[in-house]
Amino acid sequence: MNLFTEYANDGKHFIIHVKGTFDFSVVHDFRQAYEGLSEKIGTVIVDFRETEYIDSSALGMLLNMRKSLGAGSRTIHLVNCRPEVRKVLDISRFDKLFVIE
Amino acid sequence: MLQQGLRDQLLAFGIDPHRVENIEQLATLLHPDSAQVILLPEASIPDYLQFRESTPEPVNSNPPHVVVLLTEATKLDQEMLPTEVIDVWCLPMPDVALKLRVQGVAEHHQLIEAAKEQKKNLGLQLERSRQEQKIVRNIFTNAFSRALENDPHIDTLLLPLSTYNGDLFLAAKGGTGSLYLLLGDFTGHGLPAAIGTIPASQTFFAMAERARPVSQIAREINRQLNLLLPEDMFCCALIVELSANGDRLNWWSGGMPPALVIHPDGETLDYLSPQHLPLGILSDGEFESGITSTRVAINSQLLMYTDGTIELGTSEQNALGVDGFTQCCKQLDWKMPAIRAFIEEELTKREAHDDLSVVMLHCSETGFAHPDPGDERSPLPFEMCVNIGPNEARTLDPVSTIIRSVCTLEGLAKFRPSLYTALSEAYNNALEHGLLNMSSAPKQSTEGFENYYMERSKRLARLQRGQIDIELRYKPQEALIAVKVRDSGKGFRFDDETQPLSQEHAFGRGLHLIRELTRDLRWSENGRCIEFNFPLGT
Repeated sequence: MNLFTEYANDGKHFIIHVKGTFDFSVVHDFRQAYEGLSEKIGTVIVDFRETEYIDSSALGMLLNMRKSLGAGSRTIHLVNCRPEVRKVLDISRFDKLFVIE
Repeated sequence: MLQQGLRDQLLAFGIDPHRVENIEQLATLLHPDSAQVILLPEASIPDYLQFRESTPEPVNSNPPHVVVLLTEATKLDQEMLPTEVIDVWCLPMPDVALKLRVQGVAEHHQLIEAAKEQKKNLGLQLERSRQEQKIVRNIFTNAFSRALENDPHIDTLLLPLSTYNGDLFLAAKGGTGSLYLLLGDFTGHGLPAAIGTIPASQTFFAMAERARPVSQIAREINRQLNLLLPEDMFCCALIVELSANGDRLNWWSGGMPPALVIHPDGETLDYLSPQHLPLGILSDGEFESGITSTRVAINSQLLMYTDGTIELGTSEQNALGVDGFTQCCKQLDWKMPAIRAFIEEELTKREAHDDLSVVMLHCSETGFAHPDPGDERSPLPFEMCVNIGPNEARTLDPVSTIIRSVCTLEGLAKFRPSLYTALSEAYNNALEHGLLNMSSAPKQSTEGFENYYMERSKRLARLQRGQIDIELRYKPQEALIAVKVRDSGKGFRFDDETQPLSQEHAFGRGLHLIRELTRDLRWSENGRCIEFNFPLGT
């Protein structure tokens, strides 16, 4: 499994880690990871620390997640991006939709 | 006859006595390897004393026991007698008395022998123990050799009670530019407490290097210590990751006194209070790995410390305590040199009972550049052609395979992620639109997105015909990799060579990525072939 999730800050934060390649091969698992997320979770974090590669399907998945979690009502952070991953996010101007750290 | 009887009696106790007949014998008899009990007749006393005077310390670490034999009431001053004289017998004496005296000498002799043997063994033991300590110290040194040293973000005061520290402080650069810290406190102190620091440190360094999340580091160290340590031993620990830009702390704390986040104003305090049991107690199944993520203002400080600090003075019923310690640090303006001086001063007044550690972390950008795999590029040009049929497309991951082999070449590794993205977009476009005839339109909706990829794998499973050719030309002179991806599909019509609108729409975000990551993008062969140059500039 290239995906693993955890709660932080007493269950108020939800963190998704994607290992290795973030592409359509995790499309199903990725959606399932955030589906039916409890209302009390105000912050969702996608941690890219172990993400080596990313492509446009990952961008699509992130946009879908944002839509599904109610755009704007929850903050979605994209954290620990390698410079190359960051470059891909910047090209698509994801900094306007997500908090990129 | 009496003499003979004496010798027999001593022999019966396993002692072979030597009777001094003349002065020449003395030198050999007093030699450490020779007789252990010497019977000195009255007549030889002057000789013996003279001999001892001329060689004041002939008796070394292994002195003989001298028994002086008297046959008449000679005036003999005890002060005259050398220390090796352990008894004086006036002969003749009643058998029963002599027997007891002989027994006394024999017992004395045996005790001394036993003590000598013990001393020898103790010496060996000590030597062995010194050797072992040396080896162990070496192991500890090696175990911590990967620790980050002299980092400007970190200031420490580490005071173990003995050679071995049951407190553990580790710092390491994370693979993604973050800074990992672990401050731990094993039950007890000295070597038994220090042993657990070895597996804990190795796990910490290995996982930090791979930039693993704090929760997983905590879980793994817990798992190891739970297996390794006896029931009553565990490790209180605070594991912290300072993000690369220095404004976030991800932390897990089990059983440690609350660390303090000190706002740059020096007034506002935030506590990282322990939320879990110490490491090594719970089984992996019971373990709680939940971390807390705390935003901190740049230039905040994090003050971490172990029990030993706040328990200073416990035996005088005057423990420093968390509040006392915090107050003192605040008065010292949270400056580490002053805090260090304060603790050292306290130690002269109060007794330490435990290892003591204080660590101050300055929260600012870590400045750990991403490891540069080297700029020297291989000067040797190469070409690579890969032909992918339905079977390869179904069962292999061609893009990953190609990227892996290309990027083993000198100096290309750092371009791997971007090259992957560009090539992956081109390949997936060729596969999905060229070979699988898919339309991107349904991808626009959330449900359509996932259905699109389900449809993709269905069609791929049924794919009978078609081929995708990937060509890579590495041109070191021009510092680029020329990429061509061609599919055997039916292509599409386009009006403008650089702006194939229909394709742009179908391709969407992916094409935009290629355009931004590469140069000289062009289509040919009726849209069946895409070419671009991937720049290898720094």
